[in-house]
Amino acid sequence: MNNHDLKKGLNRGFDQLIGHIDRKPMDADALPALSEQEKKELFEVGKPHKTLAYHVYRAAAVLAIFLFLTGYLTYVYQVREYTSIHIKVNPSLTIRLKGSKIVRIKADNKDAKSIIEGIDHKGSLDQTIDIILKRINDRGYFNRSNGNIKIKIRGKDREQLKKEVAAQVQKTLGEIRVTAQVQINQENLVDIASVKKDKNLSDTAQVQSDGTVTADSSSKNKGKYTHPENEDTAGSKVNEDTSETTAIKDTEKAGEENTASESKRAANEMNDQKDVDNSDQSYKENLDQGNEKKNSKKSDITRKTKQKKKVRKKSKETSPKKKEIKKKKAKKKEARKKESKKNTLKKQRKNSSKKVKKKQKGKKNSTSPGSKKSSNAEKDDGATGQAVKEVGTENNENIDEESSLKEGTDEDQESTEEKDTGQ
Amino acid sequence: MDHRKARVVIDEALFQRIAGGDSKALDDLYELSYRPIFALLLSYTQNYQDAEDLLQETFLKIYQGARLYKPRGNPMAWMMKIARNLYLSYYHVSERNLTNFEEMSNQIPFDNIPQAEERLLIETMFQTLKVEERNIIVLHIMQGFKFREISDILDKPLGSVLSSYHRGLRKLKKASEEEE
Repeated sequence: MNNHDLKKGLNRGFDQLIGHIDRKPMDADALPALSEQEKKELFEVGKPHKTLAYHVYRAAAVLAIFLFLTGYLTYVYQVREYTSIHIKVNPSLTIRLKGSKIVRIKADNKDAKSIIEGIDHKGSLDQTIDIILKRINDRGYFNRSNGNIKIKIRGKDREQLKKEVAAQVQKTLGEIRVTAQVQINQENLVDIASVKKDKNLSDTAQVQSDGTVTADSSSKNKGKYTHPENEDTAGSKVNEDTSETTAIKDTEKAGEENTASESKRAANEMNDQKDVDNSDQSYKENLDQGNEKKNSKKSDITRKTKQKKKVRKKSKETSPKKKEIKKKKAKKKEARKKESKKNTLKKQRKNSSKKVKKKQKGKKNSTSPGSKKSSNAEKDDGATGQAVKEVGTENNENIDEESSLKEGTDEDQESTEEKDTGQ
Repeated sequence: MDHRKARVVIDEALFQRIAGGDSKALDDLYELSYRPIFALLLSYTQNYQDAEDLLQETFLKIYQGARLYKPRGNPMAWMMKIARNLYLSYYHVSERNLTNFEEMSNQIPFDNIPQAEERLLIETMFQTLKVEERNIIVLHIMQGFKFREISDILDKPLGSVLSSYHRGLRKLKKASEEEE
């Protein structure tokens, strides 16, 4: 049955049901007059008719209520009482505070759901941040995010909260020995004042000039994230090199601290100059100051980089172990040279002695023994002298050896003269 | 194609005559308008006798309050509203608390309808539909009122009138298909 048949059937059926109803006779004079209540109930007398103006007023009232509610709620949530801390590593989550109490911890993505599971809302902010960062570390999210932590704080008392959160983050990162680049409200952690001065800070964590929070020098994994499970093994591997690298690290740190202090001094000087100049300077000069600031910042950065390079060079030059190694190498080289020289001299001696023997044998065979001996002695002297001369010309560098050879030849000459005189 | 029944056209001058004590004018008004008013009252009460009594009472009140009528071009809606208000005040109920009465099968003479299909339709309308849905169907299909007029008579928003109407029609269609 379609709608047409349905409606037709309903019409016909209802007509048949009603039939014809006669009006009952009534005595009009006997009827009582209408009361005020009856007039209101039945005829709706006195009730306002819903005109266009009525609808307009109603719409305006609804709009006004809506605007008031939205304004009030934004005031309550964003301006008046509530503050929110948004932590983003890869698991991003939001902590909502009312005063100092945590009202709600909200996961902004799937990974964060497992992180915030079972965290007690009644705990303090420091504790919850500590727990959250440790859980993030345990699940290896720092490694995936290359150690980047972005924190946004909105609402009331954000400046004070920023310091507290910075201190706590630095503390926990120091405890878990993780190097991370921390930004709070797009500001590096190092720029937030009094972070280092806080007594609650652990001595192990250090903030670098580029905003990275590093573990102490004993953490052995500076610049790299290490999972705590693998930390021991990684540490044992690195142990061998630590003795060499600690000196370099110390010098680097000292250089960084020096650069930081110098930059602060420069900034202070600049501020002093500004205070003096501000009394007389006009709007244009202020603009120039702005440019100077920029230039000074750039120059500071270049200075820092140059100083870092210098420190690295110095550290390379001044490291005692490297010096020792160089000395050893130099000694070894010298020893090798000496050995090679000795070997060459020995060979030359052997050659020269062989030649002398051959010549002596040849003379014995040709001449008589007496005259031969004298002549041999003369010739020997000449031969030996020649041999010595040859050696001397060949090895000018080895003067000591030559002298020894000459002595040897002199001794030979004396022995031959004695023989001659004896004969 | 519109399947609504043609609306009853009433001359507004009748009310002036009734207000002047013309009983003939009241008879004319009764003959013109008693069927749609009775249909609405039957839909409300689900009792033929009670609806009949309320119909007589309604015309009595119209006679008494004819001088209160302000001509706005729709006298039928004014009369319908009086019938509805009379029912609500008579039974001390509000529009929200309307419920179907349990033993109503004996109170409505379905046997007056000779054809089985139409009788079945009217029976299901009284048994399965809510009072609100039934009232809207009666006023729209059987009396030819527009939905805006119905929302004015029943003091309901236009959106809820429309949704109730379509819901009621769906129910009737489903019931008729099940019977087939």
